[in-house]
Amino acid sequence: MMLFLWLSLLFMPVSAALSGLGVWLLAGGEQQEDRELFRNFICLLAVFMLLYWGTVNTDSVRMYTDPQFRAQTEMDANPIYNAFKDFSPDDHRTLHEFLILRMSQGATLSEAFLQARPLLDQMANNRLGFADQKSRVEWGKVTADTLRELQTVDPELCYRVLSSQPLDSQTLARVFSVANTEAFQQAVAHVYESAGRGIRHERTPGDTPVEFNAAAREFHTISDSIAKQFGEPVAEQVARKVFPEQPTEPPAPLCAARIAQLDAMLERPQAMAAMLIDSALR
Amino acid sequence: MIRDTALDEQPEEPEENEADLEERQWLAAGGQKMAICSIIFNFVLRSAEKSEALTGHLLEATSLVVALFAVAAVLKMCSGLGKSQNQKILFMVLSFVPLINIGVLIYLSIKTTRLLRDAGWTVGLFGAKP
Repeated sequence: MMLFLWLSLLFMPVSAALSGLGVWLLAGGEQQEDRELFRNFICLLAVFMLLYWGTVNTDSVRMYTDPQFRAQTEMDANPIYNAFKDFSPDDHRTLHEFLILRMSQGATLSEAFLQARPLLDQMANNRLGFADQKSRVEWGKVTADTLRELQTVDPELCYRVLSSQPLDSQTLARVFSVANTEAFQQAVAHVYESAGRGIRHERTPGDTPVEFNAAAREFHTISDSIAKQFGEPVAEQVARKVFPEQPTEPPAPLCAARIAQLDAMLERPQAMAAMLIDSALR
Repeated sequence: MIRDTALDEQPEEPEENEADLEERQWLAAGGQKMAICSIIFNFVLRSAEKSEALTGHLLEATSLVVALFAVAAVLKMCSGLGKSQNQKILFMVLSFVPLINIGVLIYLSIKTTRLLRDAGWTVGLFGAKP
């Protein structure tokens, strides 16, 4: 910001100095009438002002001089930000305000996006009902992979995410792999894009309807298998969808059971998997 | 004979210098009046900016016009004070440097006041008269 302010302040002095130099070179040591001197100076001043203004306002120069412009350009290049902008103005405003706040506190755009992950997670889950089957499956896979990564680091951390408890920015920056962050961002963008089309009743080719009762049966089959593997109380908790802040069972089996539940759902055909994931995550 | 010729030619030169000097004094006095107006315009412009009576491109355009008016004043005063062409160019450039431009106007105005007072002009708050 400072550099941009300096360039604005120097606009007239630099243009005038260049015009002065130009007038001096044009005169070439010859005495000129005041009127001619003034006219030459003004003409050159206009030329240099236009050149300076044009140069300072080009996108490539502003990327270095204007942090606000750079931040906005970087945000516009982000697939999540674009998807929010195109398909959900309200969520876009919320995300924009969050990112600007974090960046004003010194975070880079990628750090701000990382810190926005719980917010994005919640927003994507809310939109899941409108998304197409492919995006729902993708979202389910990313969620399962995320829990798996957290489970490896610390099962308590995994449970905190499961129960929608906030993670501090240092933890958010530490625990997720680059590949997982990229996959998460792509999945959020795809959920928003397809949900946008879903809200406008644009059917996605390839989506096939699933009978509700068939899905309920599959859900129970998976719950039974979870109960056999992890015990009845854990299976009951996982089937309830909402996890309390204080875990009723040890976090490690709860987390593992949730991962197993999502994996089992993902093994089903796309249409069935999409419906089961929607019911489990939304 | 030689003395006579010399006496015949002598009155011609001071008369020409006096006319030139008088022209320069009028030029300097005109430039000083313009400089005073330019300082007043600047104050008015800053007030308009603070009160947001003028904003955006209109403010920038008005500032530019006032700056050009100040440059014309500087040029006139420089000519009146017999400054060289390079000095004129330097003062014109300095007229576009914030804060220094006010200093330039005050410096040239003081020089002009001295020149005009020495020539017997009456110099007041709003300029000089013969």
